[in-house]
Amino acid sequence: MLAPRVAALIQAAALHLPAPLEEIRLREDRPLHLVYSGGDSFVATCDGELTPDPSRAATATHDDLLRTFQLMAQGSVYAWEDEIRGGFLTLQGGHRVGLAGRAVTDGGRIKTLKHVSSLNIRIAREILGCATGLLPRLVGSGRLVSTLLISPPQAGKTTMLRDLVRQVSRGAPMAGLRGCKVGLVDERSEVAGCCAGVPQRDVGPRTDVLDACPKAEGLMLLIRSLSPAVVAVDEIGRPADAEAVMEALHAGVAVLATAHGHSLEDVARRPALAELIRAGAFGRAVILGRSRGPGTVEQVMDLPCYPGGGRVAG
Amino acid sequence: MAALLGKVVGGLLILGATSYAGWQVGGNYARRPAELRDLQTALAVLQTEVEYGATPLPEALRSAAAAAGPAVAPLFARTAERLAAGGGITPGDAMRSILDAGLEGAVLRPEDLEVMRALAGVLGASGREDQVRHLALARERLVALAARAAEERSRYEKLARYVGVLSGTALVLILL
Repeated sequence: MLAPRVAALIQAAALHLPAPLEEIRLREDRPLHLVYSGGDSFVATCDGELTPDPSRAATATHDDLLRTFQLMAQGSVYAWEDEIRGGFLTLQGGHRVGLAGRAVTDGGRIKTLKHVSSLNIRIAREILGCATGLLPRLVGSGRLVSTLLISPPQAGKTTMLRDLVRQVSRGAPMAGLRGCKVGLVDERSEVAGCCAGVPQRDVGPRTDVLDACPKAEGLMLLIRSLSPAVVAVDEIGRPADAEAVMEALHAGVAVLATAHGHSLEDVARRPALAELIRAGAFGRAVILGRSRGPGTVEQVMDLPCYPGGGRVAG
Repeated sequence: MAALLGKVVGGLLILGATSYAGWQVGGNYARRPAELRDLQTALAVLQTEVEYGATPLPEALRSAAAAAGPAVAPLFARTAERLAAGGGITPGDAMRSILDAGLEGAVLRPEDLEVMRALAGVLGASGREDQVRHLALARERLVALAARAAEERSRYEKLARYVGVLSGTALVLILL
């Protein structure tokens, strides 16, 4: 997927990495930048050694960026216009690439990006079983309680959601949970990493994925047509999302959702989410952090829960 | 008697050869406008695939090849093959390498292929609107080239054939 020159450099550098690679960052005319858990570093010009000194590092050229971008778009940039407008591409294997460059706007909205000058390749990691410890605390009377995962970026929110979905779908006897039908709305193709609609990640045997679909609309569609017992959705925050979540709860469907933030108070500052919490949409709030590496469960809070759907109040 | 027979046979051979050469040259004048039209058709298909289907290039190129005539179809089919093979190659690289290798069986001139070379540089590298603009521009240039090729054809196709026959006749007369 990378331009051959960059690929060779990074392949050499990968041997020197002290921890698993998290991000590969290419910026035009600036040093090749690698981020791994617990630190970051540049790639030196010779034989891929790592260096903290940007002046000794190999830079990514215009041609590298252009080539890499084209290769990632499978030679067809025009076919991914919606994704590029949203600032990201999903690669085979579920890795995601963030894009920056010059935005072409139309009436104040981004129409497309041209002269892409920054690429951030986020290596998707599937950590099977990372939710095993958490799941029992989200179950009440043999059913999943609606849960909001709160976490700052890069703290494993999506990875955790994916594993929760997988385990709920498969069933977790240890947690006293039988496998149930899960509907997943994956607007940014991040959770299931779909390629041509087929999940590239293990999201469980009873999971239906609605890929690249706007969250609010997707939730409604799932509830109407696929009769899920649980719906999962990443990064809610807009009023329309909140409305759809309430709709799901009224239909007796448990909701697994995530939101950006460091604490419940952070999240409650956003009007749509505050409304949801006040209405008792979620029975649990889970705060994730990086204090012991990404995906650390910092806190599980019981919230006063909406009594509908037969779930047990927190 | 034998000498006369030899002269007649030799004369016929010369006449046949020059006529054939003239016929070929004339035929090339006739085929070029047709091949330019085929290129236009292929680009029109490519444009539709890009504009309405947002079809990824390898597949779009294959449909373009299917719509083009046998002389220019390999340009698109082979570019698609090379792209599908992967290995860090961009669509521009792929098409340029095919153009560099030359299209055997086609009578297109360097200036015709130059249009495709210019297009190769931007192929697949930008948003839909931009691609459509570039494809339309390339087609316009091909239309202009085709008009000139048609004009040349009307002027030179018959001429080349006559020159073939007549030069053969003249040669035979001189040698007699």
